Amino acid sequence: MEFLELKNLTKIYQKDIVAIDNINLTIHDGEFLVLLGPSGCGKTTTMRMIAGLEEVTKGDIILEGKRINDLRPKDRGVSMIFQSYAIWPHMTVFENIAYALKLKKMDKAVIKEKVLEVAKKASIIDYINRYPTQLSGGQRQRVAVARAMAVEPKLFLMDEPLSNLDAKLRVSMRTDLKEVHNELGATSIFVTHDQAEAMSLADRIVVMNTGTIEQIGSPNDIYHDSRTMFVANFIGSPSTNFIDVEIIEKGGKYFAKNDAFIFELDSKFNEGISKYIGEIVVLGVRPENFALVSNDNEKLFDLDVILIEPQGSHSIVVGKLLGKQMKIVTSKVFDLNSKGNMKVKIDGNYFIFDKNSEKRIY
Amino acid sequence: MNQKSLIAKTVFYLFIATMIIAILVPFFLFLSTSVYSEYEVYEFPRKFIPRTSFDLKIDWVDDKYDFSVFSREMDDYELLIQTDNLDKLRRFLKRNLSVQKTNEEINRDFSVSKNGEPLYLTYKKDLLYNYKTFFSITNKAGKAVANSVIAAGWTILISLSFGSLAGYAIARYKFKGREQLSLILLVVRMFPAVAVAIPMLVYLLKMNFDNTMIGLAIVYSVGNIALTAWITSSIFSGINVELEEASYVFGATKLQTFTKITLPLAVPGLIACSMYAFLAAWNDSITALILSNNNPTLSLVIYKAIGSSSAIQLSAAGAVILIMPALVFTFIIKNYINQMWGEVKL
Ligand SMILES: Nc1ncnc2c1ncn2[C@@H]1O[C@H](COP(=O)(O)OP(=O)(O)O)[C@@H](O)[C@H]1O
Ligand SMILES: [Mg+2]
Repeated sequence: MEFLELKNLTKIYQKDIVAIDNINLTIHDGEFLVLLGPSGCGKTTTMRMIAGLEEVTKGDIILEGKRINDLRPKDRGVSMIFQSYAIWPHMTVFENIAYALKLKKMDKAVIKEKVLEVAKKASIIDYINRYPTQLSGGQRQRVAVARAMAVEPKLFLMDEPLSNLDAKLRVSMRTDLKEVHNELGATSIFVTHDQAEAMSLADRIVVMNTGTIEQIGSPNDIYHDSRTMFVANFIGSPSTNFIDVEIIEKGGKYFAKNDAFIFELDSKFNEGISKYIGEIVVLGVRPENFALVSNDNEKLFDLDVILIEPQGSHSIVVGKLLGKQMKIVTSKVFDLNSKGNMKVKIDGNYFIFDKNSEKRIY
Repeated sequence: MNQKSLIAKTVFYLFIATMIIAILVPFFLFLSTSVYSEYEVYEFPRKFIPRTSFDLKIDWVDDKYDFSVFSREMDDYELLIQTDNLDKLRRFLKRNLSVQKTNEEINRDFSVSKNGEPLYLTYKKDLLYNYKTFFSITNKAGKAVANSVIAAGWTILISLSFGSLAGYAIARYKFKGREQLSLILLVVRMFPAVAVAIPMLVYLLKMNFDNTMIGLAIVYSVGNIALTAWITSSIFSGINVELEEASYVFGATKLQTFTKITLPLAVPGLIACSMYAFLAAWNDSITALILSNNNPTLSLVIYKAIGSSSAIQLSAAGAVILIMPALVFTFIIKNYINQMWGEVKL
């Protein structure tokens, strides 16, 4: 039995705004699943349907084998960290954390013990009697975490819980959240639009786009085996370079050709690419899968370099090929003023996409 | 500091000062008039600061007491009354100077002047004299205070319970004509009280609610429910829905969420509304005159007293009696709001 299943889940707002379009998703027990996608793609809506805060238009939500579509939020055994934290300003930190436990009519002494325990874990024990207005953003976030932990939920829902924090705090908090997850052994669904956050936290990532699922997979899968142009573009920073090329065949071999270069495709593509002969497809190359070469024989094309962005451990070379911007990541260290042409070759993995469907060609 | 901001600042403070004076001066005038004695009322020019005592001169002339009061204007003693009747003196002291003395005290103090030398002495004024008089001459003043409190209490209860529910519905549920409704609420408020009171009297008579405080409160509530709904709807829409949703997720029902989260968060606004309701009921005399003339409220009693009495110091005392509870109520509540929740800004 799967822990949580979303079956043909659809959400339509106001008769014609399709926020979630028939998605299917399975979440395993104990996993840390991240919903990743740009703003407005339906992440929050999905989350809210699971929590019971939004009515399901069509489809089923099945938690531990039981259909929970019509269950009230309070009967679902989930807990949630809201983007706005949603901690109650008229209650102290203690009262906020104790709220759910009091509703369960637990013993006063037990509640106190439990609240203090999670407050200690979330490092807010020193502020236990303060009101939320007397706390910083990071401390409020911890209160939201502690409150969610206290109920020992089956399922942890987190809607962009770190997006209101500054960059440094965000990185340290995400480590803490993952720790909490591991410690509780609960199943977590984490929503974010930040691909770096998703990559570093997730067991599996669900990449969403305009109400549909683009790809589900481990962070490495998503990155190295992106199934669509959307995923290849959204995951990774700088993102994948896309180059329009024509497929031609010469003596049983396939080549990608444009005005700047002609490139022999790996033989593993032979089968998939054969029906695209004479057509334009999209070659997708991640920035680190280009290499700079010094030898004219090795080079695939000359890149017209506009700008070098030094990153310390590596550099990003920004250039132009056939009028389109390209980014290359290299471990070389450059003089900032390096301009002019650089010789470039493809050195590593690359994707080929159908230009119309934007899906991978294998 | 440059000149422009100096001018701006000056204008600003002048403006504030004017506002404060415009509010405080009339209030202070009422307060000081309410502790005047009859004598001070007719002093000219009027004194801003009321006297707390009188310097008296008593002369024994022709077997009579010549009773004089020191007047600051004339810088001399002004002869007010000549009599040997102690009881007359006592009443004069009380009524004209708000000085409360017994015949024995007067006899003991004044008889010293019979030695031939004029007697100089200072009598303390009873500052609360007008207030005491107000309650003693206005029959049923105590009952009227009780009536006012009861009417205000019912008005708060009725307007708040119906008004805030309506406000919540307007804020949280989307239905057709929602915007129009909140406008109509204000229109209801625009009806003059009398226009509502007279037709209501017919209904109240039918229900035997005339001359009762609950009947009066129902009429006060008509306009106030609308106002409360209007104010609370904006308060409720200012409360982040996620705060309620968090409550659902963490195990609360709709009702529990309303009572434990929404309502407490709306408390500052609800208190403001209850203040409006209180003031509407407390200050009204016209509606009370129509609906409850036989069982008057304090405001109606004072209205009648002011209308029939020529003693302005008594009227002023009545006005202060009317204002005080409203002021105290307002200040207590304001302090309470400020101390809530670690000074949350709403
Ligand atoms: N209450 C609502 N009424 C109408 N449309 C909504 C509502 N909530 C969300 N939407 C729409 O549904 C889509 C998905 O929204 P959301 O789930 O909030 O996206 P995300 O969380 O991924 O940014 C958006 O296009 C948004 O405009
Ligand atoms: Mg969102």
